[in-house]
Amino acid sequence: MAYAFKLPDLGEGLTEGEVAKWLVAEGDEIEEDAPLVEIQTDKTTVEIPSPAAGKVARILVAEGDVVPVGTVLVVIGDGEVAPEQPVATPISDMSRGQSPGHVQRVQATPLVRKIAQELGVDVASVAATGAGGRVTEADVRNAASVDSTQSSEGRREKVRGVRRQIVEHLTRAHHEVPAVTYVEECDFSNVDLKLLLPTVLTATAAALQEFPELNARLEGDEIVYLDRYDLGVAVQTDQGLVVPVVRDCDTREVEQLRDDVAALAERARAGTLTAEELRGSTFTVTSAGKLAGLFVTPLVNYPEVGILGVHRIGPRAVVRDGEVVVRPMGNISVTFDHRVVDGARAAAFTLAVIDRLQS
Amino acid sequence: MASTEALVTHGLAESDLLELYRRMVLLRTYDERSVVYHRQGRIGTYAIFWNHEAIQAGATFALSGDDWIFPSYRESAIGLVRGMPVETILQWWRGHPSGWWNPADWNVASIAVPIATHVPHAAGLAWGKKLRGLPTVAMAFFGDGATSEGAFHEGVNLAAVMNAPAVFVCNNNQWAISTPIEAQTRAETLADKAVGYGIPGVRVDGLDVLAVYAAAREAVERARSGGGPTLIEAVHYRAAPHATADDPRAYIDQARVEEERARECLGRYEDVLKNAGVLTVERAEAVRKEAEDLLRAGITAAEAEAPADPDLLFRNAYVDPPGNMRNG
Repeated sequence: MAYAFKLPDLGEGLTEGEVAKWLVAEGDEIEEDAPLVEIQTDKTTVEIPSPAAGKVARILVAEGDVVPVGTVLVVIGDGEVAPEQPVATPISDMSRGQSPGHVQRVQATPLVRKIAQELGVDVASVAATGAGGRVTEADVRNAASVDSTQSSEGRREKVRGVRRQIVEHLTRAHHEVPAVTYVEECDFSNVDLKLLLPTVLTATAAALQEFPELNARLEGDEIVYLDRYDLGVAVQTDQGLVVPVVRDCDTREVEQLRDDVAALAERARAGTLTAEELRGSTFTVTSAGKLAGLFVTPLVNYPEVGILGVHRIGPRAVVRDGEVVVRPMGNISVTFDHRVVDGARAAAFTLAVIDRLQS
Repeated sequence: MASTEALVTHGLAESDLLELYRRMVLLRTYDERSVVYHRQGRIGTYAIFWNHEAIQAGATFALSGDDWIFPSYRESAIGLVRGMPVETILQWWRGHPSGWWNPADWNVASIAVPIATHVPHAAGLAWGKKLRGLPTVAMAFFGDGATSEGAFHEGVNLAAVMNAPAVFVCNNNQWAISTPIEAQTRAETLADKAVGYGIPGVRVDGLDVLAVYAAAREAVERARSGGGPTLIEAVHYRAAPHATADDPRAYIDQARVEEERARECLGRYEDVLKNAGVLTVERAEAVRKEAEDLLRAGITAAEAEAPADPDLLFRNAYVDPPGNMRNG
């Protein structure tokens, strides 16, 4: 008898999960409890030990697909899948009053199901508006018309893995955070540009200590002021943008920070960063080197309340003591969550960072 | 190196020491298999008690069969020490009605999921037995977080005032989900709280099963001989997630967790027994295998049972179900 393995609720009331990685292929023999698949949830990635032994007959959900809890992921073993067991006979003396019906996964009349079939609509995927969560004929027809307006142009690619996390994370940052960007120019004459990023991290950590509301998080109706200065550093990789965390930027030497940044960036590009290395930043710094532009308006790295950008540095004409001189100039931006940080304070913070870089 | 003689000073015969070991192994196996069963979708969300076995096995070993155990969710499998079938407890975690045992069958109360609500129950049962002139002791288990609850205060105070034969075992694993003990209390130790109730409070190494047993035995003897309740604080450190729905990497230093895992209680007791010549490698292997077989048979039995009728959820909730809950 074959075993149909359904995606379990790996949390407490979890509704869906992503198949992160299959650890077996169709045709493989698997022992009970041997690693079967990695599932990524809102909270974590867990390895599922196989509930059955036998040959992996069919893998039904591809890596990167997000499916609801209860979806059959894989069939293990030969033969038919065991039928669902009938429900136990209710205990009669516990019965009282009128009993409600069994809750089925999808409630729809046979007619609605038939229409759905004709229109090629999966009745399980339709948002139900009928009484008691029932899918109505109108629901099915609406779903069908939405489907038909979907363009058939272009190449389609499933949003998965890192990109899916970026989509969710930035959607949230964009929806929830009323962000404002402040920009001021900075003279980099006194900065060793080979140590640019670690120097900026040091200056930022020092300035954050004077402006605690920027090294903070908004959690519900509380602002949490953090006393760590662990700064995220945005790194572009082939998979997309990731933000590893450089720890203790307030107490460590520039050279140590440089080594950390280099090691983290390398692991980011190799895709070998651990979850720990991506967790717990208190503020973020972004710098895209030559691509950094005159200035940009980045999104804050939610749930942080600020992000500092270092933009393109190059020789520019500036006035010093009444004379036009050429200096290595670049803009520094600070994008901040205006709910937590007032504009004047964000400006003063930016200037405090610039002061440190110029001195 | 420990000797059998030193061990026997705890008042335990070799057969007792091995029985204690068997119970710890059974609890450990139950816990480790349950995490696997959860991931396989065979049981629901599960509260992990890995490395709490010394407290659970040690404290209950001081009880007689007539004494009552009041578990919290962290002690969900404590019925195993009384011979409760594995499948009964698995069914509880599967949300199946056959997982609800009759407390009087095992002298094990229902599992309390709300924090500390069972502390007054234990106090009440102990007081009631005393009023009837019975020599029964009630032992309640709860965590460090429970000591901040009103019900803890009410239960322990009532037991103290009524001189009820109760033993309160606080499993201080230093975390209440993500709340650390420093944020839980300003008291230096939780055992100190006993002072306010006028009862003895003892602090014991929660990873040392014999130390827990010795403290529990003294408390049980005191309770049975009319000396009233005792508060035992068994100190250790939660080296596993709070439950399967929890990812403690977000709030616990993983280096500390690794350290704690390295000094877990079962291996420690196993070493003591081996050094004393009480336990052989073969014997240990046989005990583990027996526990694994029990778990395998347990999950098979649980899954063989017909699924519960979801209507049962509503059966005793309404005399007249509201319209939107009726079949229509």
